[in-house]
Amino acid sequence: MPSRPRRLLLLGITLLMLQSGVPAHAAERVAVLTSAQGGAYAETVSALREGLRSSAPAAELTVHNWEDASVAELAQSDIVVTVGTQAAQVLSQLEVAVPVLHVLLPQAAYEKLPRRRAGDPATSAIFLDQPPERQITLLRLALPDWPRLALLSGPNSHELVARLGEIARDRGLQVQIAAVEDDRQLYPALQRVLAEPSVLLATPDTVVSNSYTVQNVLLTAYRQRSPVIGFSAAYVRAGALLGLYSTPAQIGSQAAQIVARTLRGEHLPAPAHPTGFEVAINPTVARSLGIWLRSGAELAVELRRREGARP
Amino acid sequence: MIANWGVRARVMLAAVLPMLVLAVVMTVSYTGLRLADLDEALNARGRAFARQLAAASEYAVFSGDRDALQQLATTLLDEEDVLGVSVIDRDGATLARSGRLDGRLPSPESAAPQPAAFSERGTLRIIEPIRPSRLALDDTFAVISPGVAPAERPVALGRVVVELSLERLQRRRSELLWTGVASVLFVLLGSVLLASYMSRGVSNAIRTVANTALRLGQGRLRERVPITGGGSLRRLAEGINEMAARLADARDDMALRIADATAELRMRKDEAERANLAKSRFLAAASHDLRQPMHALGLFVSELAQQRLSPQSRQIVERIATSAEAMENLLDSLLDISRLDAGVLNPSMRAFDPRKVIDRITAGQRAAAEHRGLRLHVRPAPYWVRSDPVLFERILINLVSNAIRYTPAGTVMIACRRRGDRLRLEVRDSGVGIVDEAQDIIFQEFIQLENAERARDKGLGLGLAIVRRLADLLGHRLELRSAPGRGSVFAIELPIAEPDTEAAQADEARALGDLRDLRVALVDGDALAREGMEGLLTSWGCKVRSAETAEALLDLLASGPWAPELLITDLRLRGPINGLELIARARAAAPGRNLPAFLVSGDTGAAALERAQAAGVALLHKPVRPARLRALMHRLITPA
Repeated sequence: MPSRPRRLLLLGITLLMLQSGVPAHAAERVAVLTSAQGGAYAETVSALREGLRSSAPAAELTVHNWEDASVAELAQSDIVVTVGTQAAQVLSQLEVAVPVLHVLLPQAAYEKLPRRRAGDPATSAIFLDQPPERQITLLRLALPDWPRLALLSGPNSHELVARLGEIARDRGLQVQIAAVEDDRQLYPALQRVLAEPSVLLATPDTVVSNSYTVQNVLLTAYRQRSPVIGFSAAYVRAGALLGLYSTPAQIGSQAAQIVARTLRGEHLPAPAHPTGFEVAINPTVARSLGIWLRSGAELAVELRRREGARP
Repeated sequence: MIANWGVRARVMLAAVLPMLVLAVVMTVSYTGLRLADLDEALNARGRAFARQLAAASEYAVFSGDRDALQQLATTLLDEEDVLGVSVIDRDGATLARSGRLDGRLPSPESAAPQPAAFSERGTLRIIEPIRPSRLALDDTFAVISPGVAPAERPVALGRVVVELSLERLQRRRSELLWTGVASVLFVLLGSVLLASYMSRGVSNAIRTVANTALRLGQGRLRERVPITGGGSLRRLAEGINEMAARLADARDDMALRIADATAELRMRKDEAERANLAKSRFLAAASHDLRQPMHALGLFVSELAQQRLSPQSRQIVERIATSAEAMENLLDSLLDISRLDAGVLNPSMRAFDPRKVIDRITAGQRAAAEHRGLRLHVRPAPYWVRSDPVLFERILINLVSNAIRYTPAGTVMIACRRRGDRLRLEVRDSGVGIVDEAQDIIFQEFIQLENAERARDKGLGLGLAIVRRLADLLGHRLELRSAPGRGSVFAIELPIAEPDTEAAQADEARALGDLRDLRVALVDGDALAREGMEGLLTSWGCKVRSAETAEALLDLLASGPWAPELLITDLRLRGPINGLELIARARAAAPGRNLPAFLVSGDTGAAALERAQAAGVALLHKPVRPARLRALMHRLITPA
């Protein structure tokens, strides 16, 4: 028969064990795998962290660079968020049996990732690109007098361009599409699609739109008296008339909501375009082309209003 | 080489050399820098053109706008130095070309689209790739596409080739080089002028000192260096001046002393001349005063010797004659010396055969030699000589008699030998010889070696003095070779002459002759001398009329038909008429024939002889030797 003090000691030990064991089960681990430090990636991570602090305060966020990620570490987390294309590619090759959310990658890149096996946990993504509908809606909203749309399709953007063209035609626009396989074909393609002044909708394809081609594309369009709609704020600064894009913060916040919901036990949603977006305009270019535009903020509000109205 | 340089050259070198080195170094380095700068500038300009063109043609190349490119290329051609421009696309096709590209360089189409610049043969070619300008799309789309991410360095759209002419650069380079050379020369000239100007300050001062020193050296001791400048130059000038002052003092002092010494010397010389004059006067007077009685003595002894005498008396007479002759010889010698000293002897040089003279002397001296037990040898030579035969005979007699006198035993030899164009006549003896130190003094008057007692039979010590004086007068070289115990050789050298046979025959003819019945007029103030002379002449068979004075003789001549064939008169006569005048009057009294006449005189002074010579009348000094008297009479009465 144990003595009274002895019983007390055992109780204490049991209590201690219970105390230490409970939080271990309660803490949710979120691993973030980034393609790079700083810039848009850091902004995204920081927005994600910010969002989780309010929506899932218990979640423990660890940030890994894609180069030094280890399977063991990632496997212990409840969900992995990859930021950027490179991180997504790295993770998709690892045997990590946790749900994965890819952010900050174009839809084209996501579609090129290896398919996960059937038994794997769910995978989802928030694309970098804007949904084609939104782009066409903005085009109609901002430039209702421009009936012609010019599109250039690169090796990575055939489908996207085809989809855009489809939607545009549905909305009553005349669409000119030219395929560009390498940068030498860029000028003739532009000449072709901009034979008459049209709105050139830039698509995120490295052959068509990269930092070395942007200027020549913008110049050519300008010479053809054609406005360009870009896909980033920088594009607008470089000379595009309009820009439709989502900021890293918007994407980070959206990712935080998805992570929080997942941690609460919900399933991952299907891959989707970002919900938050911004519209930027370049008033100088607008003046040069003699186009009157509403402000970017107004356009964004109107665009959101229309999207909200639509189910 | 520098060791021989003057002050000025050194100063110039010191001033010019550093300047020159500096000028060369500066010019070379600055020209080099400037050339490098020019080179660099041209390169930079070329690159700037190329970059500008590349940037400007980017869109035109992108859009394939050849017109725009051509315009750009043509515009660039307006730039200075640009020779040619070419724009080439990425496939190597030329899109635009303007100007002319250097065909010697590799084809620009084949060049790699890398920035390059190289120059060759006056052309600088710059290749600049045309790169699309990059616009930073600072968002995620920059890296959105895996696998096809844009390269850091995009593919060049093409390249531009710009060629620039190096001609202007080279022209500029040669301009610079010439400017450099010119500036070096200019600096050199400037520094030479400056150094010359500066060095004048130094070298002029030194030159002044040097010139003054030179003048001081030439004896102008009153010269002084003007004291200018300071330091060493000043010390030098002061030193020179002090030296000059001391030299001048020393010279003045010396001049004073020399003047004193000269004055003293002159005084001494005057004294000596006076003493010499006194001696000559004394000799002349002494010989004159001695001559009168000697003359008479000689005549009387001659006359006495012609008398019949007992052998004892004859011996006495001979001894008297010998003594008288010795005394006469002494007087002759004294007379000779005084005549030679007076310088009134005029040698009459002519060619003659010395053998006759030698024969005569040996004949005369043989007896004396034999008397002393000596052998007298003659080794004659068949040459004639040119000299005064009478004076030559005097020389030879003196030498031979001297040799005989000083040779105790052995041989005396007279040897003739030809030596070139001269006849060397030696009188050798086997006597005691003469030590070196004595060989000069024996030619002085009254010097007799080893005759401290002055024995009269050893002569008066005038013989060699006369020989020396005669040899000097005739211009014959006189030589003495002797050593103690090895005899002596006196040699005299005479010029050899062509034989003159006519003169020789005349001599012969005159030597013959007879005085018998010769009418002689004799005038002498001194009765003793007159009687002696008259006795001698009478003993020779002459018919003598004598007178004490000139007047007496003239009376005698005027009173009767007796006409003399010869007139002998003393120079100094009692009464107003002297001997010379008497001769003139006597000749005037008997015109038509030139009355032969001569003078006798006890006056050995130069004046008497000069007067006789001036009148062309022979003069015999008293005491007159019978032989000489006879010879002279012969000569005068024998018609030429």
